[in-house]
Amino acid sequence: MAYTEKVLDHYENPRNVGSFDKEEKNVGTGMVGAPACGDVMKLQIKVNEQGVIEDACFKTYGCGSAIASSSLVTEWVKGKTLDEALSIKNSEIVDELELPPVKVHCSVLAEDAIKAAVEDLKKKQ
Amino acid sequence: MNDLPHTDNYFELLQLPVQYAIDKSRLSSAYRELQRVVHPDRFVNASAHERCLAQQKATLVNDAYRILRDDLSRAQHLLQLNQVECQPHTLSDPEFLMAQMQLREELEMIAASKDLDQLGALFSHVQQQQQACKDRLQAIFSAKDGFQPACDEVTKLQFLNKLYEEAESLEERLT
Repeated sequence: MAYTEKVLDHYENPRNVGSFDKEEKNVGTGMVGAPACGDVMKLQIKVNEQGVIEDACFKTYGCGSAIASSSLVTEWVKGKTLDEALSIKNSEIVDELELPPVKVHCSVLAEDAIKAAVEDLKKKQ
Repeated sequence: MNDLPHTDNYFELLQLPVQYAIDKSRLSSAYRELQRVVHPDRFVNASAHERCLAQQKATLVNDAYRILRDDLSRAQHLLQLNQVECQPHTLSDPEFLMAQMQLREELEMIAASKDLDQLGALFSHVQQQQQACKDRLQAIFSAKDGFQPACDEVTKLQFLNKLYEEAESLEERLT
């Protein structure tokens, strides 16, 4: 299947690939997986004292669309408060990357990963 | 071919007991027998309607065989027959997912180091985990004490199968 240019761009030059120390108090880690295709996604956020996300990173094993979705949201969440990050909808990811219907689940995975990361962080604080 | 039961139950179609444990040689012989009965070649002189029916039956028999032969899809079929709905979407079992991620990282390292011994070790590790899932499925289905827990095992097996496929394609590239 042909990927759109935006997906290819994120796939070939993924932003913010990496890991933070998940034990740190200001780091939230979201681990999610898509059973149907076996994709695994880890998304981490780091907040400052004002509760604003100052950095984010991800590691994804999956198809190009899953990698692009997670790469995109790490860019989007930077500078946002936790509540703003929670308001990111998968449909926005679909629109931005022009994902075809069969790849919508990748954007759902990325949305769920943000939610899981925020939840993890809130549990710690 | 009127003797083919009208059923969505692939076990009944192939006249096998409705259970997770399966005798694969019995499955193969039941399949070959039915395939012979419904084979389109037997209907070349039949009416268009009969030919069409035979074609449909042949497809159904092929589907049944493919589904029952595979340890994952057989479990999914049993869940479906028992009207158990598994949550299809995101899995969030951090411990399991973390282990999956580590295995994929390991696979990445093997791709770089081209260490076939290490790849062999990873294969047997994944196989053990797959077998453990199948054993638990067998226990859940034979206990007949609520099938919902089978959903978790099915999900885990999906991840493990995917990982196994990726290890296989790496092996192909390396050898």
